[in-house]
Amino acid sequence: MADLTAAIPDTLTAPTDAVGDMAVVSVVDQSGWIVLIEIDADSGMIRIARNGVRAPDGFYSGKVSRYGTFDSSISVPADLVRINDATCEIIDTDGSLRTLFVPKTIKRRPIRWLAGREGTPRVSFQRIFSGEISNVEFPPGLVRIQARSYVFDFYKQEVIPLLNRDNFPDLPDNPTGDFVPIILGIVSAATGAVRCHLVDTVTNSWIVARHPCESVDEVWIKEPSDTAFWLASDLNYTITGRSLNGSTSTEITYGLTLDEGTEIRANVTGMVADEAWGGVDLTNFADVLLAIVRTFGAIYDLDHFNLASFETVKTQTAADSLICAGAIVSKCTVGQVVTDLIKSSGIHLYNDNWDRIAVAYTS
Amino acid sequence: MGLPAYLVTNLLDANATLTPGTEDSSYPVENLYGLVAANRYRSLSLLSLSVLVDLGSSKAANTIALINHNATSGATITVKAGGSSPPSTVVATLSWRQYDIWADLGSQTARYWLLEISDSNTVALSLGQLVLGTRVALPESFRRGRKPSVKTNNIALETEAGVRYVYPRYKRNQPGYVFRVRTSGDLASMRTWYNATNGEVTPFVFLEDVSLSGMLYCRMQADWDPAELSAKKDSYDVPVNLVEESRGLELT
Repeated sequence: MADLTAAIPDTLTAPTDAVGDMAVVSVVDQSGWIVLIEIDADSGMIRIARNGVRAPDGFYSGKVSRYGTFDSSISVPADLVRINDATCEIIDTDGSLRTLFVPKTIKRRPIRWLAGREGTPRVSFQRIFSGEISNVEFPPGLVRIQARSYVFDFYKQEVIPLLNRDNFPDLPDNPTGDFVPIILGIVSAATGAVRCHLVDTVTNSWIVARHPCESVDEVWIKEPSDTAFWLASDLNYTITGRSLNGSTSTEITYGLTLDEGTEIRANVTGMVADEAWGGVDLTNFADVLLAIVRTFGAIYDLDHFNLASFETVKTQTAADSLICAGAIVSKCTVGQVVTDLIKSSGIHLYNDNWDRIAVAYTS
Repeated sequence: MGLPAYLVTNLLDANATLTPGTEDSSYPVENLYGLVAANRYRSLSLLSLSVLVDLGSSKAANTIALINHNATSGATITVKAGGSSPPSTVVATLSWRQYDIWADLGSQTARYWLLEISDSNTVALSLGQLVLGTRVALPESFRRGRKPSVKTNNIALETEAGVRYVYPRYKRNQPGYVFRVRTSGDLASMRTWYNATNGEVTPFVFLEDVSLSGMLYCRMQADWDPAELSAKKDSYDVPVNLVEESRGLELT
């Protein structure tokens, strides 16, 4: 009799490795896509896919029952990145995942979805969603995972205040503030725009900004006995700085004694190119957005940014003579800062197809 | 024409000691009994793969099956067995067959078993499952019919103006058999088979005809429960549908 149970030859049409499974098919170029999921569990990386996938770095178990969906959109009017949670359903009839999750919860562990075309190497697969596991359910035989995009993390991050005795040992007993300002572009007002805080009672130094500034253009002083601010002579102060959080602060060291309760304000041309902030002159909104998100949003990895889009927007806003000028002078979150920046510039922030923060600008 | 047979119980398990010639740490030799054919053991060599098995004590086996291998048609595949390590007596030289190969070992009893593959491959040699054990023959009378089936699973979508667009996702063997139960002995054999595989749970080696090289590494596709024979009903047909285990995808 014929050998009817012969293996399916691999000379048939694609997929060449029979008994494969693609998650998505591109109708445009008639090729299949494979979607992989990786979870950084405490016990090691969990690799899963719709079908077993052998990659050089390990085996992706064919346990995904459903990949779920997620949406991202560009806000109109300009607003923060909008992306909803991603979900996936994993087959766990053997209880192997439950066993892994018993000693330590899987919540808040990083998870990512990767996609690549059939026949392409694993290294060319690109991330389409990443974040942290926000919720896990255990229906019979299944594990349902809900993941929140990483972008929500940077919204919540606080811009570090920095004004404390660790950074300033000779801080007065009752400091007038707890936040070291960030100054972008020219910030100026009739009697000084940026309030400076006394940070060193020994040297009589007043903090202007947490970073190097182009210049401190005017210093305005009001002692308790004064009824109004008066312009200080630049002969009476020097601009100094100290190492602060990876950058160098800008401070006014006043040469004369000032009464307790004195207020100092300054007009400032803000941040200059500083390695701690990406090494670019921060007068363009695109540069500022990138620097703020990277510096305070705890997103250090450049592959989380569509840098080409930032460059494009930089060119577009420069052509429109859009210049970033302003100061962050009190405690806030990165989300609040970014919201202010994009609402005043008209730059849209969104998550692109490859899970990167991108910007778009319409003049 | 030979009888159909199945092999569920693998002598290779966590109690056996497997020593690979070389091993890719991402694809360890323990994968060979992990019941997931797609998750292979992978050697570091393009030319050779060897696995020395120490069963701990002398055990009998009449069948060996290599599941989801990537050896080429020019490969030489031998199995040695014996009471000392490494064994030197060749008990089988396997004829190449794509993906899955099985061989009748006759009647062998040994503690040490050695699988050796020599090849001229372009990628590292790898093997999904290595099954060693004693196959169970099914009575000839069981086999009444067969539905040969290679199932192609497609994604069907529509392009512009409703033009149907179909893309094949995968193909796999998915045969259906009909076994006739005539005696209580037949019924017992069927139940033994079903219980050995835990229904749909455990994948197993299925030999449709032990005189042929064809084989499947498969699971039962649906639960079935043969009814009791009675005076009024002295025979009936039991459909058994099998579905081949996935061989997985390979990324470089």
